[in-house]
Amino acid sequence: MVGYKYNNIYVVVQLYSYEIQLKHLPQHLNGLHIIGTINIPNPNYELQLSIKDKLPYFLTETKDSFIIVFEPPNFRNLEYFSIDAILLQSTGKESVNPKKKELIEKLEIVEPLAGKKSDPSSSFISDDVILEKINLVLKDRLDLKVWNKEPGDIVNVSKYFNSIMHSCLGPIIFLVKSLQTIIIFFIKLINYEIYSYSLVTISQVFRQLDLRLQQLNYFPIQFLCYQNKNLLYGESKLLYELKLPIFNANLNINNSNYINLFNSLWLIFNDIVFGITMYKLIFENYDIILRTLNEDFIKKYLFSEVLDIISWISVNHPAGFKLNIELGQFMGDLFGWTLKFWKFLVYDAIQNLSPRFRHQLFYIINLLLKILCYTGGLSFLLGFFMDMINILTIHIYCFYYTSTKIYKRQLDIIKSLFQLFRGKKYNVLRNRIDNLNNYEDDVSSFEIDQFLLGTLLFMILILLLPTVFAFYLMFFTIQLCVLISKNFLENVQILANFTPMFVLLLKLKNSNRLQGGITFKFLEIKNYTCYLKLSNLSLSYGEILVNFIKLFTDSKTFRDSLIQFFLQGELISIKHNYVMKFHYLMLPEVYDKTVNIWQYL
Amino acid sequence: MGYNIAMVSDFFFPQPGGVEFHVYHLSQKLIDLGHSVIIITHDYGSRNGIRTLTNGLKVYYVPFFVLYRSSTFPTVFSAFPILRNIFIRESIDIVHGHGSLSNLCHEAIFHGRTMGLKTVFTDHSLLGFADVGSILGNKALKFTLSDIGHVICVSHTCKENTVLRASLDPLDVSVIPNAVISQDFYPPPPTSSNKRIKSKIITIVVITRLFPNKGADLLIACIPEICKAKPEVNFLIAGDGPKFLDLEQMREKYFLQERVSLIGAIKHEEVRDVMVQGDIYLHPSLTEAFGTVLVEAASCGLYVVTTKVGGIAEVLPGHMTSFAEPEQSSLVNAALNAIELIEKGDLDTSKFHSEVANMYSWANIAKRTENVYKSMDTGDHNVDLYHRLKKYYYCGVIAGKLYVLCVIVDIMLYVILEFLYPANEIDKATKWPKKIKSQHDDNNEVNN
Amino acid sequence: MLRHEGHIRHDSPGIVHTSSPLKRVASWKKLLYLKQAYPDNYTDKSFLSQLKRNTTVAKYSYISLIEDFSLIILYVSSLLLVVLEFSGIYLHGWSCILPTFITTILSIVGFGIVQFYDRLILSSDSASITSYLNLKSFILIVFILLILSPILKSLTKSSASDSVWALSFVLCLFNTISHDYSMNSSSTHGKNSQVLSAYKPTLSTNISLSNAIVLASRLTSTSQVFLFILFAIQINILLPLFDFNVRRLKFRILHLILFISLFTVVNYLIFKLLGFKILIYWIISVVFIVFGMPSYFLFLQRYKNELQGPWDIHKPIINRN
Repeated sequence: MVGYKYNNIYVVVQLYSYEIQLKHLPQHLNGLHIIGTINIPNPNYELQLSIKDKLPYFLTETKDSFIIVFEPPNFRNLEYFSIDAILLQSTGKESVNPKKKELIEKLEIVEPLAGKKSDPSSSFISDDVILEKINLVLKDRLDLKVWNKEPGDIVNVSKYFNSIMHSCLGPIIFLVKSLQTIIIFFIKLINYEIYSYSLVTISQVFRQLDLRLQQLNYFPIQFLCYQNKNLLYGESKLLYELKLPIFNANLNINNSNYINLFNSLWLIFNDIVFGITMYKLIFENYDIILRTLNEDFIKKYLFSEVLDIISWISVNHPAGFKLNIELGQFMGDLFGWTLKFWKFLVYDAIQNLSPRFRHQLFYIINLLLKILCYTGGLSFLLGFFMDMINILTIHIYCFYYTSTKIYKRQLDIIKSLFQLFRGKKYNVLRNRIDNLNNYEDDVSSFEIDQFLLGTLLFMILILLLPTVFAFYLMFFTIQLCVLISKNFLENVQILANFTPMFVLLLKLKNSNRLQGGITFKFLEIKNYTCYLKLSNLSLSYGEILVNFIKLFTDSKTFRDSLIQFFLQGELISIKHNYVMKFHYLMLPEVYDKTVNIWQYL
Repeated sequence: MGYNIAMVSDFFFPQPGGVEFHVYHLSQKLIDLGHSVIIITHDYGSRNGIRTLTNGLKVYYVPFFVLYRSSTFPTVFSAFPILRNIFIRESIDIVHGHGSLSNLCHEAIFHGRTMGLKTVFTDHSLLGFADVGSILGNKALKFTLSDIGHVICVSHTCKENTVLRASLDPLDVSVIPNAVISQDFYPPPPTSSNKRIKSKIITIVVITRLFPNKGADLLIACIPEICKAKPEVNFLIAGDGPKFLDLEQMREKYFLQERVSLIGAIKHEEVRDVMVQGDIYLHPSLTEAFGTVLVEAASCGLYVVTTKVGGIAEVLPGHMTSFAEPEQSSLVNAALNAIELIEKGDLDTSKFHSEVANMYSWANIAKRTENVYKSMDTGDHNVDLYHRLKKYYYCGVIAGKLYVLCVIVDIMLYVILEFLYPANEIDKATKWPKKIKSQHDDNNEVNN
Repeated sequence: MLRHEGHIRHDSPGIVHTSSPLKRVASWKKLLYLKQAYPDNYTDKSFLSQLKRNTTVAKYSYISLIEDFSLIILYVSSLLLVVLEFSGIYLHGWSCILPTFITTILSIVGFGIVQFYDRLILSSDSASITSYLNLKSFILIVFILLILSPILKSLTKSSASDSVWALSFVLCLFNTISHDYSMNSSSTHGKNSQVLSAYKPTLSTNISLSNAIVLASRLTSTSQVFLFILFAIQINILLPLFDFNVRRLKFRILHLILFISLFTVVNYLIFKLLGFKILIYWIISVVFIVFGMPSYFLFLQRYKNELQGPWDIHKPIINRN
């Protein structure tokens, strides 16, 4: 029996039917030695087992020992045992289950030694060294076989093969490297900030382009990780340079990079296929779409309908409420003029163009769509739609912004006047509400004229509040509809960009490759010996999808305390957390250092 | 043979306060005397169910709806099933309720009487007769105390108040004060106090919740005057409340930021550390049943300047205290006199601690409470139903009839509960093993 | 057993430890720190000796009560006057220039007199007290009203008249209830300065002005709105203030003249606008309030049973300066 010994643990690698001399072992097989015998009692060795049926048993009297059987993981298929679950996506922060943390803390209080290795002479099966040896069993067997037969021959063949590969690789590497340089240049270009605005921050199409380019930029590293395990392993300098969002860095990182690479490739392929289909559909109905957009969407819904509602609220007693007509008319006129001006810019200007120019404009848009769909795919098309919505509904945003500000100011004044009546006042310097009468010796200093003026303003503002509120409510509702439609488009975009399709298929095909930890199955107890079977615990569907679902809710949100914001007159908008998407794909934070990978080969 | 006692109050740990500490320490000392004590209170957030404290003191945190300032919702009958279950489970002989504002305590005493148990009530607070809140509270108190076994008050003033509020026979009311754990309130070592006198800075400590009825307005009016008269005086004020803002504004108005430090609310275990930083304890309260904090201050070796209201005059001897009327000029004068006393070094506060330790100890309180329990053994407190109803009937023109109705409904409920959950089917709880009573405890001096 | 003697001298705290043999005759003391040879439920003869009954119940004279109750009528009359003036303008198209002109002249003259007498009679420190309504702020308010009156006119235009009347009625009722009459009655108070510092009828001032604004917004022309609100402020806010000052300065005759003239004007307007029947109802209710209510109040006084003792929350005495 040949294997490793670590304190109280023996890892059996291979059995030989004859007495083998373990000399001149290759470097990586160091530490391997004969640890015991089977069926032949030999007191020279520490371990003496016997096999009769299926499971071996101890010949010597040993109390409380365990025999753990396992199927050696196939390292070529990226199978291995690991106690840490593989991290396929990250959410940007180390996700420690709070309940689990609490339990660990409790355990440390009750049993301070449980989590720590107090005794250096004992090992656990969960130690990295032991698991590593278990993972390498199959490889060691092969190496032993090679070493046992003819050390030299195969090595030569592989060397020869390698040299051919190497000469071919040269130009490919150069090509990839120059492509990477171009990509990095583009990323930098679209992220270039002028007055803290860049193409990426103002346009969803460029936002999508940025994501796609960063993905492409990282592909070579992901690919090479599979080839060369040490690239991102341990204390690799590259890991530090790129600032990768990785928290459980052992074997998992290579595997997850491999899985992510193919997942991304698959999704990009899908995206483009969908995009082309969509383009064909749009192209066939191009005229109809343009017409509906112009007549129905812009003229009817974004202009006439809005104008109707404004006039309804301003003078026509909306829903029977008696609002102040003078103020309503004033505000209605204000919004109405702005609306007409917007229509002049967006609609009339295009209508008044000469037919030739119009034709050319439509042709350019068509061409743009074609480029987006054929090179980018569906997600780019969706980004384009979102940009269009942003441009076309800019007047609604302006109205919403204005009415919110008016409402908020009015509310603030009413609040502070109310404080005045209570004999209190907000103290800006100390950020608290002061009692007015504590500072003056003369108590009557808060005089009756101030009081009258306060009441006068208070009454006016209170009576005008419903009118202002009606406008505010209307624009809030419209803005909410716009936000909901944008949010929907973004959800579809996330679906196209981030669905863990490949992972789900992998789960169906070979679940051993999705390491979620290890599990022991109890077999039996015989003669004070406990028999366990070690196997892999694969990730559950929930674990695979949890971060993906989080992406929908956390990467962008406008629902946070919506009612509260509405009542207080705060602006609502979709709050984006773009970094989360990069974290999810485990893309490096420093994208322009990826070229350096070729140095480490 | 010890009694099985159930202490019932809405107010208990984790909430801090006078009643809470009283209940806990009294229970501990009663356990030392060989009794078995449980505490019944309502739940505090996640603190729900049964917990066992030091010496096997079992606490039932019963989930009830909390209405205001941790008082449970005032219902008359809703707690009966669970209380009956607990009383039977723990084989309770004596139900001892605390706090006249605790609804749970009222209910427990009422149901305890229906079940024929002995009942004791301890009143910790003073209530007037004028405002609506106290009138309602007094009605509830009258209802509960109509058929009570015995009442304990924390001071003589409190006794007078309770006798008037609930129309009781004064002989059924005992006065047993609060106490302090004097080991927890020890004065600072003498070296440091000498140093302070050399530096000639005198610190006045105030620890109070800053509410109007605790004299916050009086305090705010007095501080500038004292500071003006004595430039070497500093203030250290602990506590929070609605008047905190006015205190802050006073400090800013008179530019006293460096001399008046406000440290906000503190925990009870920090009280000693705050107190020993000062020389004088100032207590501006407008009403107080007992004033445990005064005893704590004196135990820490502080000279006490206080308003003479409520039961305060009974608490400490004159050489430890200086009394003032609840008026600005009187309190300022008292404080200035005290400062002069300290400056001259005429005052020897070093013996305060041991003196206070002799005056108030929980062991003594527990012994006296035990005497109250024993006194109920002799008299037959379970009169027949007719006489019991009669007691309630004479409580008021309308209220009396209402009370009688409540009693009858409660008895019917008791019968129904007895039918649904028979007493012999309720598991009896295992008692915590008793301490071996040492000879020393027996020889403890016995009062009355 | 420890024993103390009452209040111990400050200079000899050591006396605490000198224990003396228990005397059987040691009298009971109302102290908690002593360990006394009496049972815990011992009730001494001194029990409840500090109990006081009905100490705050004052003896009222019927005449002074009538004076106090007449203040209610004064305030209600001032409210009524504004409402009647409004209905005159609104229903019968009265001109509101003359009444407003008269009240303006009267209020300027009135406050001039008060200020003058204040300077003359009282010491210099109370001069600042009456300066709270000086000419400058008066003119300021007038001009702000002038600017805001077009806005005020349109405030409730789209609401139905009925709801405005209902709102006005509720406001008046609430105003009557919440007005601080007790601070008005200077006859029961001795110190003027303290009373005055407390006289700040915040809520009723607010409600009066709100009522005026709500009513004024029904009027048709901007000048009407302006004049009416000015009138209402003078009658509802300045008049009670003036009356208070008059009583403070002990011009009893002026107060009486004020009361009678206001009452007469209100009666006349009621007769003219609402008829004789309503006038009778009004006068009956006034008589009931002024003469019936005080006697009922005195009747109730007999049943008063106040218990006071050391347990009550003391009222702190704080010197304000």
